Amino acid sequence: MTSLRAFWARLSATLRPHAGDRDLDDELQSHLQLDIDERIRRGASPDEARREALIALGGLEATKERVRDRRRFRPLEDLAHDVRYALRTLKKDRLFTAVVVLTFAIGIGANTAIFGAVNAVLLQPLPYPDGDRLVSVWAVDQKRADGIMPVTPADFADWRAATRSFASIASSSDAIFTLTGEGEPESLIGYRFSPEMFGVLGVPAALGRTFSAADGAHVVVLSDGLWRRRFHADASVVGRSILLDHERYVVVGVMPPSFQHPRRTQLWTPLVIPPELAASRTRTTLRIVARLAPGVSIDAARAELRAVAASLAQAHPDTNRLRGADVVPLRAMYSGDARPALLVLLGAVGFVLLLTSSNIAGLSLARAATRGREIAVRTALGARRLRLVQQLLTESLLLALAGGAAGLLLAMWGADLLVRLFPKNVANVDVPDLQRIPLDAKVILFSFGATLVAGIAAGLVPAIRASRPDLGLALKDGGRGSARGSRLRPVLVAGQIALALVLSAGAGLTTRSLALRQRALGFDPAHRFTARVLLDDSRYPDAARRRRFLDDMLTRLRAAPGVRSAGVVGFLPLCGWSAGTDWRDPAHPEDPHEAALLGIEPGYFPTMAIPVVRGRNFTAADDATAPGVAIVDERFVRRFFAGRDPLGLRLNFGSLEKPEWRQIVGVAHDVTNQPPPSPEEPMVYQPLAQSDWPFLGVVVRTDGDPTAAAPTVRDVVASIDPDQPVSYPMTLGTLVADAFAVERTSSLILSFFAFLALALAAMGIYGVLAHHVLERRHDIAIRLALGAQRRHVLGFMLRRLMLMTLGGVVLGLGATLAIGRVLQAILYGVSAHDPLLVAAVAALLVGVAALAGWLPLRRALRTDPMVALRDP
Amino acid sequence: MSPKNDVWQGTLVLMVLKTLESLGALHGYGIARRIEQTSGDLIALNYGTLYPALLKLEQEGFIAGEWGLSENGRRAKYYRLTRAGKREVERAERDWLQTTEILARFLAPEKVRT
Repeated sequence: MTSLRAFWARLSATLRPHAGDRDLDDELQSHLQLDIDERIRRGASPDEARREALIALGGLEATKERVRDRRRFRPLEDLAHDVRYALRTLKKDRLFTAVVVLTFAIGIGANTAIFGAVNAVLLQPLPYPDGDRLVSVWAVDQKRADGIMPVTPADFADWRAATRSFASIASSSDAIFTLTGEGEPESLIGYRFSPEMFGVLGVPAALGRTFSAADGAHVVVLSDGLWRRRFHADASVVGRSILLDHERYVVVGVMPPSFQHPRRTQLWTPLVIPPELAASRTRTTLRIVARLAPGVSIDAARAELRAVAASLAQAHPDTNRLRGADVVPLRAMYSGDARPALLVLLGAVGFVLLLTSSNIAGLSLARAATRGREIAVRTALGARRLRLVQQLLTESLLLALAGGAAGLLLAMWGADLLVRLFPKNVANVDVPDLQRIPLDAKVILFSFGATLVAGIAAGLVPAIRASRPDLGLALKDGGRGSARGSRLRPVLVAGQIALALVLSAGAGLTTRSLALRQRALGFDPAHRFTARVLLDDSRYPDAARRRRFLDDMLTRLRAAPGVRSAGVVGFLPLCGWSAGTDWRDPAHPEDPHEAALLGIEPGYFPTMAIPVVRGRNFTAADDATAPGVAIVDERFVRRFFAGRDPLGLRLNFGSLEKPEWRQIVGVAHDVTNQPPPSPEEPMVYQPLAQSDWPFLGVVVRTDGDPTAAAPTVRDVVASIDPDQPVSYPMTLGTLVADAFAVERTSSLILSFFAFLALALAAMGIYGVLAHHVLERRHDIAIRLALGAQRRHVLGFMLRRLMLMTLGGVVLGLGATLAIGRVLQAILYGVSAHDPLLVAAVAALLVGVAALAGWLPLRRALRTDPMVALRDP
Repeated sequence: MSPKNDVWQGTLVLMVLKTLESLGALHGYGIARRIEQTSGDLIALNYGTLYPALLKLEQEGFIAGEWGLSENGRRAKYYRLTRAGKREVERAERDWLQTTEILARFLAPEKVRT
């Protein structure tokens, strides 16, 4: 307690450095006087008494110093002194200060903004109480690399009975409902929740209540968004009934706006598993969410569940032989498709910070070289080396702090820009809806951390370097500074070139990947309008009725004015939905393969301008009564029939017991069907007339503006069935643009960082050479005066430039190779080691280096020997 | 006696506190002289070491200083024990006695055994 008191006393004394000095002076004077009095009283002469008293005290100044040391904290006092000193020096060197603060601000600002986005998208806690204890539970198909899939009802029942790791667990499944009787009909994405689900997530209704097991099947809870959009936020909707799939559902509640599980779900109804499905171990329909029991880790839960899955695999080898289980944080489900791109951007912006720090380190080295004399003088006067390092580091940290403060302002502006760049209302890719990037405590802390790291990174090497001047040399040198810093600076610059190369390569690769993917769509997106018609189960319960609707719709569309052609596909390309099928080669029937599956009608390929490269397109003759046919894409042929012609082959698309034979009648050109980052799978097309699809993707090719087809499609559908909604109406161009929205945004930001990196590296090169020329101007002048050829001088400088550049390029190429694997995650159709592109980027770097080096070299050549020699 | 170790610092502080306890308010010079006299001039005090010790005691709130006049009319800073200081004297004295007693057993073991 008393020492705490002493601590405060010393701290407050440190803040008032000269308080108490006067008192101490008086006290020591009084002490001496008393001692002198005493010594005179004992017979000493006054002079003698004074001398003896001073000796007895042990020196006046030494005593004062000892007391002062005790009075305050020495390190803190030093810091205060360093700060004052640094502020004074920096004020004298305004240009240096401004450049460094600005450079820091750019580096720290960019990092803060990007981290803000990462924080907003990936790090925000789930809007559920104790959200980090929530997990989603999956079955795993062990045949596939990333084989997580929904769970079968019987497996789920066994899991629930056998596990102890979960405090609560609930199941759900997705569903599409058609809302009618409330104006325009609409297809709504819904989720069926087992009654426990709301309890597991721990969120009560904002209005009314959620449902329980006692409610039966025909109740519904609305999302906040749907309630506002379709029911005008009218509280009296609770208790009313609405028509979903033409059946009455009583609205029991409305959820709060933050509740979106899973994202974009518009309503929830009770999950009722029909008895014939309850015992199934083949229908993978349930999506499971659980809350971990207190004290149970996610790893422990996973281990327990895997043991249960393994015992099920033994008990039911027919169905469960290769079926495992996995438990993942629910959080992972919410970051969506923006995650890899954001992480790449965070890495890239970290490189930018490294670059700015290295750039500033270079500037400080140059400055330290010219400050060599000042430091030599201070060393000669007895400054300790550690104190000098402290002093120089303080200076660098002060600059970083100023830069960090400015960077925070830049980040506010940058965050606004990022929000505007961030894809909005994207229908086909799972992108979180980013409304704003809050600069919260976590972001500010990150920014502060980045500031400290940058300040120390930029300051430490120059500080250590500068604190070790060659005394004699620096003092003799007449203030010209020693050449020592100039050995380290080229290394720093080489590092900057390497970093700039990595960033440029990254930007180039992502841009090229995007361009390639958009160019290699395999279809023509211009002048085409699309919409999705999700046929309502209750009105179109069988294939015959669905087929009649399809035929009616196509006939009327093709007859409509302005429509050049129309086609239908199960899932539109890049819409984000996909289906798959097993198939067996009769040569190896026991070994099934997987492929993506699409149902199309004969008008789809011509309307999309997708060429059938061999064989034929489907025709109207390929109907339900005709022999089964299929078309595969070139990817399919490459993957499964390398070197063989699959035309005419009959493949089994059913099981061994119930085969479904189809003859391959055509090979279609490859189409980009999956939005990034999903991989493209080999594709099998089947005629819609022979395979039943409840979802219809409609494509209309128009003569003029494709948006003009919007009312046409709506009217045609309404004329067949006024209660049938039309969903996602948009041009094919918009659909494609949305699919690549994340890629486009991230490659734009990466390109900006690459540009920044190139500019910084150019500054670094310019700085080193300019400083070198300045340092060597006497040298050059003497050589020129003695008759050296200008091109010899030039050659010397050029060698230096080339060495730096080549070192940097080699280093950068190595780093690009090393991080290529990370980058590959967001690349498509381009190897991260694409030699042409990497070579082009290397050439670009050499070009930038030549440009940045040109100015100082020109100055070196123009050195007038007389002027340089006269100049001190 | 070598005054350059921690034991010395500790004992010096205790000597200062005991001096102030027995004599009441006293200035730095007076404290120093008193310590020399009490030690029978065995200690030749470097007076300069006294002042950091006084400051430390003051910072810890055991003593308080106040300017006053000496008996021969000189201005001097007089220190006196605070209430916390009086408690500290008791504590430090107890500690010291205990320490010396323990040490004594090591330094003269035979005597203890008899």
